[in-house]
Amino acid sequence: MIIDWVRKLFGGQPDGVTCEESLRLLQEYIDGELDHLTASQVEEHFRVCKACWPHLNFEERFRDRLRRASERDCCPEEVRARVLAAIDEVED
Amino acid sequence: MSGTEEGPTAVRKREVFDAEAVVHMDAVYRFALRLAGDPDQANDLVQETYLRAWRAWDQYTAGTNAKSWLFTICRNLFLRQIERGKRHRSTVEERSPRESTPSGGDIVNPLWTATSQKDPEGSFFDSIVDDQVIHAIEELPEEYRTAVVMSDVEGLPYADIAEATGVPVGTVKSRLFRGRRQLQQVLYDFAVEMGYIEPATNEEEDA
Repeated sequence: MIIDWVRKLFGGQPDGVTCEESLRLLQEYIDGELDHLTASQVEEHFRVCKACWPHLNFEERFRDRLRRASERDCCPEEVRARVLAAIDEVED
Repeated sequence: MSGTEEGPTAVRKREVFDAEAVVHMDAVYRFALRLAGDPDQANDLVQETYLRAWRAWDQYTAGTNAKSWLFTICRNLFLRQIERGKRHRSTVEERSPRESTPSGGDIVNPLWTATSQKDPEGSFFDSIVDDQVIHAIEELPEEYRTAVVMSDVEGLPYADIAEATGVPVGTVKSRLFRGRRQLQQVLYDFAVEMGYIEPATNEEEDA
């Protein structure tokens, strides 16, 4: 715990992956595309590395903004009803 | 319906279709809207997508990702419309999949470097209104837009995006990488224009 705190404070590198490796794997890490072991190592690195975690924050904030801006768009009820009615017609 | 299908079978087919395909109608609508940029065209795309999906439902493998299958149909319909209008141009220059992941100086996002002194966590993204974010997404080249929407908005894995768009996973990664960087730059430029963030100095950009 204290070691983690010291590392975070001074930007030290934990064992496992380097800063360069973590930044290179950043996109795939956020996208959930890394294998479990590598993802754990990268996660740990971002948790304790003061130099790297702002990069993670920056990219996550960007993706979060895209998701939130898109959430408002739902299929209008009249379109949904029209689609289902059209399928019913094909069914008949 | 095929004439050989009996009542209970048809009912069961419709139940499965409702549970696996109809449930994604909001996502398909969002995707169609981002592709077309026009609600009327998006409405038509959604309807045609579902009609085609229903007619081809026997070819769908239960338990696979119905959402990405619907996106595939929707995008193909959209591209066909564009082609018919003879307005389609290849909008991006594809790179080798080997260039898909950042390397060398590309590992650090240059925009992060430029903004890190004033806003290291990208708070400026939150100051931009929804309409502007959506406009920026819709201005991306189609290949980038499709990849970014499928991944960042709809959460599809790379393999499903690759299958839906008919390109290798390496190309998906490349499109995501370039599309995101392009989109971030557009949003940053807008934030500067609106005074949400101070422009980076030359020293910060070169850092």
